[in-house]
Amino acid sequence: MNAATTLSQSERQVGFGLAIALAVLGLVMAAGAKQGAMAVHGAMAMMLGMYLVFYIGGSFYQPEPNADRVNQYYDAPTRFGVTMTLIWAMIGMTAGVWVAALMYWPEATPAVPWTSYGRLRPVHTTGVIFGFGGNALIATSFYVLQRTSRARLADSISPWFILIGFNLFCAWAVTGYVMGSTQSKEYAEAEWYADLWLVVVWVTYFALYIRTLARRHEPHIYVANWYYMAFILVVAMLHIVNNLALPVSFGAAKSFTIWAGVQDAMIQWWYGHNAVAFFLTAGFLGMLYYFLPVRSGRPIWSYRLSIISFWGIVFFYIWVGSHHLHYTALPYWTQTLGMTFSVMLLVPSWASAGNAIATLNGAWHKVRDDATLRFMFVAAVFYGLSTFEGSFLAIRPVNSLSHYTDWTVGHVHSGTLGWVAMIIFGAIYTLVPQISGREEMAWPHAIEWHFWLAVGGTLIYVIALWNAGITQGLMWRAYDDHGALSYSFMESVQAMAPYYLLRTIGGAMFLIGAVICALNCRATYRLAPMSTEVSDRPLNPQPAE
Amino acid sequence: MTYDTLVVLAKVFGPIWMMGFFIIVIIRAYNPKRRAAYDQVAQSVLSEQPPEGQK
Repeated sequence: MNAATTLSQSERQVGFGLAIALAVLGLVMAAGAKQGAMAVHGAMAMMLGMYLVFYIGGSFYQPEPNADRVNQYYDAPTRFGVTMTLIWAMIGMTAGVWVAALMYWPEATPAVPWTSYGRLRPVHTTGVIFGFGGNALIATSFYVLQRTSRARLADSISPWFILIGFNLFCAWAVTGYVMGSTQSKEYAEAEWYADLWLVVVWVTYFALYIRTLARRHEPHIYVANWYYMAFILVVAMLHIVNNLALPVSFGAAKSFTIWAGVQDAMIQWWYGHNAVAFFLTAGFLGMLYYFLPVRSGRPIWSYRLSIISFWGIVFFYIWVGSHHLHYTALPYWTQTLGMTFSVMLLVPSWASAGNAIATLNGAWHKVRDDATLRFMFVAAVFYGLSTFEGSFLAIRPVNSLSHYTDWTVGHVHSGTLGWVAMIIFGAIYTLVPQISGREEMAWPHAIEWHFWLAVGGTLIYVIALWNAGITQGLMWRAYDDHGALSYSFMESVQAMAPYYLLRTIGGAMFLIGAVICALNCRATYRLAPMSTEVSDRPLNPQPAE
Repeated sequence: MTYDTLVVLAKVFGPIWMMGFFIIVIIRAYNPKRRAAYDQVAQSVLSEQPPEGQK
């Protein structure tokens, strides 16, 4: 199906104009920069713009879509978003498995700069967090927003602008890293022009969300939307403040942050931890609060508790970033503040996890039989586990053992693999058949395979890195009778070998599961009958405009 | 404004603001008058429900 045929004639004209504008913007960037990462990125934008010109142009005189479409949900962007989610999952996870393997076989690093660990590691983090997670959030938010509001998206151009623009940002980011272009900020390595572009995309996203909510046919805004909106709004705020930078010139990729010294560190981790909070948690809780009740056929156990958890999470999370800077030049009280709020955060976090698990009470037979629901159940369990672990690791004396060790990496992956990715797969397996006009995925047994590979991979990965981290922490603080360190740093690195092998195996299992999911979705899309007769939440028709 | 004044202000108004907000949220969420409305919202995402105007 050509997505341009879902647009009306006037929408195709707007899309055509935007595609030309993108091509011109790319040309100006490339011409202005002449060389380096920015010139390559300009050329990428220009080629994307030209491709879209031909793509839309090719369908320009196709018949207009059915006039009844205003009475249907607009799921073509969600379909594209899910595809990009899975493509980025494979890119990001492959990079992750590759760099994990390099830690076990460091001599396998090819003697080419772009394959170095330092350049590929942010390809993994950006590919997974923004590419995989971000596309999943955008795609599911469009789906959930429309169903919970019983309204079609406010317009048909913005969702495409948001998705294509966001993916251009991701592509600029990861290609920049392999060319050595980075502003050296954790989870925000992309340079200034990519950051500015993301602001434009994000403002459009927020505007679309608000405009669609304004057209809703439900008196109350369902809690999932609150989480999605918190995600969009707070990420905008974090992104802008953290990325304030002065470019060396408007024709060069390099820029310098306006923050200095310990303030730079504080801003970095205020951003960094709230990226975890609002990118990797809030939006995914929105996903959980919609797809878990829908899949289990049971309303959320306590809607009231979900409101309390929402405000608790929003209020507490924003303060916890300084727990990344224990025992540094950051004022002691600021570290204590971050630690205290991290511990308090456990209350709303467990309220959410408990609420999700209590919702399944009475539906355990479905959890047993339905791998899709099991993905969501495991997600809620890992959400509870990793938030407990996070609060625990933030306590200063615990942090003195864990900081700089692989325990932190294990913790992050228990959150990202066990919670974030599991809820994404649960949501995908629920919505892909729905938007394909089918009752179930093309290969139902493949979901079981995916589930066990994902759970097995996550457990192997996380348990290996718990062992690795605690071993490292203990080796670094072991003293002999003369007060000298018992182990050299290299000895602690050598002790990691079995764990690093295990993490590579666990990561590879998880990647294989993601590939199975991608193939299953592709098969489901291809089998799709051209009908939308499968039961869906009825939409309240718009009054004639 | 001196640093000390700022600290006093932060310590006084921070907890009042946070606790005040928390209490308002609790009252709004657990007000018995809203129970029925929240139960209905929780049910509303399950697809068997007909649209609002067609009940």
